[in-house]
Amino acid sequence: MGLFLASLLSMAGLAVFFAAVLAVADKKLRVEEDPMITRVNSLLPGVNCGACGALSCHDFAERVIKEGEDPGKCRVIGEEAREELYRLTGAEEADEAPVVALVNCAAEREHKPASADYNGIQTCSAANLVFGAGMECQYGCMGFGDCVKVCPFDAIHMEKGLPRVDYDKCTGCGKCAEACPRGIIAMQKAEYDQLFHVACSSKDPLLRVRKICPVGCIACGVCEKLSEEKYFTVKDNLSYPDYSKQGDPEKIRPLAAKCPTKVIKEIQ
Amino acid sequence: MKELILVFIAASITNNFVLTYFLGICPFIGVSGKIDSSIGLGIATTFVMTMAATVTWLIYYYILVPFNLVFLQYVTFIIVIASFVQFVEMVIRKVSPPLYKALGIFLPLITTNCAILGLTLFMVLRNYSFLEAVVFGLGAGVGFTLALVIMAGIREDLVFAEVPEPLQGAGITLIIAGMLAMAFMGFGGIISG
Repeated sequence: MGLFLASLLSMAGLAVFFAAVLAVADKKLRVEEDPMITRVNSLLPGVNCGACGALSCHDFAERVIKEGEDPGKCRVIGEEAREELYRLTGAEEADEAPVVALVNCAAEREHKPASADYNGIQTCSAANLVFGAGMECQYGCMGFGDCVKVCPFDAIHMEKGLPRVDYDKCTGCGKCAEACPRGIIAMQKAEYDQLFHVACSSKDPLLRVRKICPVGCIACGVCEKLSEEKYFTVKDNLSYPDYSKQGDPEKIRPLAAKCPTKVIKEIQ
Repeated sequence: MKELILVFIAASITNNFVLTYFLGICPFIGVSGKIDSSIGLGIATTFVMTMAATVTWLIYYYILVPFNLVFLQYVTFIIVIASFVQFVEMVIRKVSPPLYKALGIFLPLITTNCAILGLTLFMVLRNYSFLEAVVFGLGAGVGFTLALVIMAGIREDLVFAEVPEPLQGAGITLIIAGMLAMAFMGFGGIISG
C-alpha cells in the first residue's frame, strides 16, 4: 500500500511540476499567430497533400494570409469551405476547372503478355527497374498499384490489373502521377463536362503494338484524318488529343467509335 | 577531472551514440540533408540530453531510489524528456522560426529519439556520479551533433555524385552511415569507456 501511494504521489508530483514549468514557459514564450491564419487553417482539409505547392496545410494558410496567395489553389477543399475561405480572405474567386487524373493505359491483366516472370519486390517503382517487370510492353501499366497506395483520398483502385480513378473522390492532387514510374497517369484540367483521352502511352510502332497488346494505340491516324478540326494529333506512334477542343462531345464520339482498337475513352 | 574528460570523450567519440550504439538513427537519416538544420537539431538535442541527464539523475537518486520506485524509471525518464522537448520547441519557435520550419516534425520527435532514453538508462546502469552524468549528457549530445554534421556534409556533396537509381535516397545514406560507423570503430582502442 505504501509503495502504491508513493508511486502515485511521486508521479503526480512530477507531472504537476513539469506541467507548471511548461505552463509558465508557454506564457513567456508564446508566439502570437495571426488569428486569421488559424481560421484559414481550420477550414483547410489538413491532409498536407502538397497539391497547392506549400509544405503543409498550415504553411498554405500562412501564404494565403501573408502573401495573398489564391485560396483556390487548394484543390482538395470542399465547396462550402471554399466559399467561406474566399469570404474570409476577400479574394476574388477565379473560375478554375477541376483537375483530374487520367490513366493512359487500357491493358487489363489478360491483355498483357509476359516476356519473363517477375518475382521481385511488388511495387511498380522496383519492378520498372528490372527489365520492365517482365512485361512485353515497356510503356504500359505494371499493375502493382503504387498509385493506389499513394492516394490520400482513396480515389484510385485496382480493377483487373489496371487502376481505375473514382472521379467523385479525385481532387487532382497529382500524387499518383508522381508515383507512376512510367508516367502513365496524366493530370488534366477538365474544361468541359466530358473528357476524351487516349488510353495508351506506347510509343512502339504499329506492328509491335499489334503483336503485344490488343488495346494499344497503333497510331493509324484515323482519329486525326476523319476530321478537319484536329481533335487528335498523331506523333511518335501515339495519338494525342487536343483537350481544348472537346466542347462538343457529339463531334468526337464518332471518331472514338472509329478507333480500331477502341483506345479513345470518354470520361464524364 | 581526468575521469570527467574520459567520460566526455567516451560518450562523444569512442562510444558515439549514433555510430557505435546505433541509437537515434531516425533523425540521423531524416535531418542530415543540410548542414544548417543538422547543427540546429544537434544543438537542440544536446540541450535536451544534458538537461535530461541532469534532472533524471536528481530524480533517480533523490526520489526513485529512496522510495523504492526504481521500477518507474522508464515512465519518469520519458516524462522528463518529453517536457524538455516541449520546452525546446517553444524556445526555437520563438527564437528562430526558419529553424523551426526546417526541423519540422523532427523537433517534437526528439522525444522519441532513443538516444536520449538510452543515455539516461546508461547513466543509471554505469552508476555515474552527478558531475559525470552531466558531462556524459553533454558528451553524448556533442557526439550526436558531430555524427549529424559529418553526415550532412557528406550528403551535401553527394548531390554531385552519380548514385545508381535503386540506391538513391535512404539507401546510399545507410551505406554511408555504415562506413562512418566503421571509421568510428577506429577510435575504439583509445580508451575503454
